[in-house]
Amino acid sequence: MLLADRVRRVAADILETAPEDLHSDSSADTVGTWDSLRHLSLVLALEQEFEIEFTPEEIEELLSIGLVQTVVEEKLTAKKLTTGKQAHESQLSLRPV
Amino acid sequence: MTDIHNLRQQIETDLREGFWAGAHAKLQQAWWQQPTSAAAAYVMACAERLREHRVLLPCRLAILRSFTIEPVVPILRAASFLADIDVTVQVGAFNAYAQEFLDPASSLYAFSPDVAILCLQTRDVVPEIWEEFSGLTPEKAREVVDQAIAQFHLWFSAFRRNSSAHVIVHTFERPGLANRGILDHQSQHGQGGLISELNHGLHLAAAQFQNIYLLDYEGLMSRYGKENWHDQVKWLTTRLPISAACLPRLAEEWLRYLHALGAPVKALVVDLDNTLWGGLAGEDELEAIRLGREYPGAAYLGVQRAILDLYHRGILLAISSKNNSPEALRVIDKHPGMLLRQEHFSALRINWNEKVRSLREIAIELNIGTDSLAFLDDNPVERERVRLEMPEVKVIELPENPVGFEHALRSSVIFERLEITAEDREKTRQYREQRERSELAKEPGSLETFYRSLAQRVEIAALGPESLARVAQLTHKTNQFNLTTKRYTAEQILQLAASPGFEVYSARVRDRFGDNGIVGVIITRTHEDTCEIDTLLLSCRVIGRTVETALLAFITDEARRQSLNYVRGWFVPTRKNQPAEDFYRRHEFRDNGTLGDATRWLLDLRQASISCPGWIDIHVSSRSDSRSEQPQFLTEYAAG
Repeated sequence: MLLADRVRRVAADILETAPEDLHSDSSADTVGTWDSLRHLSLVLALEQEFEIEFTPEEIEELLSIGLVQTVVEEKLTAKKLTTGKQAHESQLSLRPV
Repeated sequence: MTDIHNLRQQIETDLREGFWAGAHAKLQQAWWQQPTSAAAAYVMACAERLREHRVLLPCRLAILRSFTIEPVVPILRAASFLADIDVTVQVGAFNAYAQEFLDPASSLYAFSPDVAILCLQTRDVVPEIWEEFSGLTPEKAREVVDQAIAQFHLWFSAFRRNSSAHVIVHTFERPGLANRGILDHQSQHGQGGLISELNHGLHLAAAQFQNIYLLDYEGLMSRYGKENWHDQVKWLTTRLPISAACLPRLAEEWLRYLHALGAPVKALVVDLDNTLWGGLAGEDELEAIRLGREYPGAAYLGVQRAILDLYHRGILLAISSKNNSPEALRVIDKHPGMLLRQEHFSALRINWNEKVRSLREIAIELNIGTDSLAFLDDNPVERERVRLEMPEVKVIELPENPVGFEHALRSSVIFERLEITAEDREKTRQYREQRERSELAKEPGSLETFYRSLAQRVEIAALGPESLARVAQLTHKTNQFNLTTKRYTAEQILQLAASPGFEVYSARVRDRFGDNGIVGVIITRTHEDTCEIDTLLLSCRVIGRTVETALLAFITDEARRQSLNYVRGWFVPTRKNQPAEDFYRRHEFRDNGTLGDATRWLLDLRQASISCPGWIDIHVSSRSDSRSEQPQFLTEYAAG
């Protein structure tokens, strides 16, 4: 399944709507169920689905389905790039200082 | 692993076509693959359509908290729904728990919960210890902890005055990094030590009240790793201290308690080949069966150890295996690695019948409902079959690799218990004796000869502190021979026993095979010239041996002794109490009208009498004849 579709499915579950009814510009202004508690649930559900963790700044950016898709994609790309690097760094950090 | 998208399409099809067991089984599968917030929302959306086709146990749950807990609620509801528990949740306001406890008019009591969860953070209850410990004098720190413990006493006793709900209390976590670093561990009275003392005090406080249970929060966090558990971003931005990944873990831990309180599994039915050992009893030589301390046999040894632990927890064990019986029994009896032997099993079905049939037979043999059975089998086809044909059976999901079997079994939430009574420990022995009794019943001779050969002695005693827990437990667990199926907590039993006109009795049955323990409960209420039977129940272990008649004879004798004219009884039908349906009619009670589903039955003591069967030796514990004199423990209860 495409990343964009996975994001829409998760959002649709949390917002109790059908994935077809969500578009890139769907936001708290256009989706009636998207309140602040639901926003927190959406953040948590995305973190569970994609095994990522948002920063406070990123959480504030997640204002529409399109923005959510962009931020998630960026995070997943960054995760892929850093996985190898982190392993290397953690080896280094075991050296006595 | 089936793709989640395909699985959802199949669920939609099942729901559309009314194949409810299929939809339920696939929803469970989807849930196990991904127990997330999104999946929870999906489960609850499907639940609306599935709800009326399941038998659900309702549970009203109040959550009292000092932090953001809301995101756990939908996950708990979904996990519970799939376990056939229908949870209605009320979340209390932030940090309002003290008022909620103390004010009898609070929304907590207005909600009338069955269960209340108290989840408080150490940092909220003893902020001095959490944040300012480095600057605290030992005397001040001690005082803070003592005050907190005193508060709990106060809250618990206020709660008990206003509600008989079960309470689950999170214990207090220690900081991942102590304020004083490794220096803290060098003293018993450091930050960590004091929080342990706080938890100890909490234990002591809870132990003074009925039905207050602790949840080891520190242990729960350590199971998944404290650093994975905490989420500093969510904590600082939304007061939610738990990471997204661990929210389902907390919901699952709560579900353990709901299982223990609501729908306990009574028996585990296990497969043999490739479940209890590696290999096939019918094909492999004994030496080739994989079971022992070395891998791969060690994986199966672990499974057996976990099953043995369940046995000691009071869970009955049974076997359902497609095998030739002698070959399977040879492994059980002779293999040096076996921890489980024939003596651990209360029922055996080693044959070539379908497992669904074997499970039904086992339930009948053990005198329990099929919804009290759990099923363990390495074969996913057998598991699926049971799920679809017997949706009420709790089927344990196993990974493909046997290395994971032990963990799957140990982490299962369905076997949880909050109390083990002496009867539970004795139960397996009693069932084995029961098997011998049934064999005796098959011997030629009249029924009366069988009754006489049992040499039964029924001992009836007024409620005492030693029987209280068992009496309350029986009201919850007895489904078949139960005339009114009223469920009472120990607290409620105490209240009844202390109320004017009410009497609560327990009945113990011994026979020549041994002591069956307390197996019967009688609760009566005398009003004017009538003794009304509020509760009359008998554990299925001793049904069909005329003990019921002995209990009724005791009730009528008591009524006569008090010069009453009538004994009145009710039959309230449930899904399971058909065995009790004809009881009053058979004992010459007159049909006295109905109220809803319930039928009322009346016996005129001036015209009829009921005598204890000649083959039962009935013994009533001597108690004070002066009715105004209450037993001391009830007087104490009423006073305090």
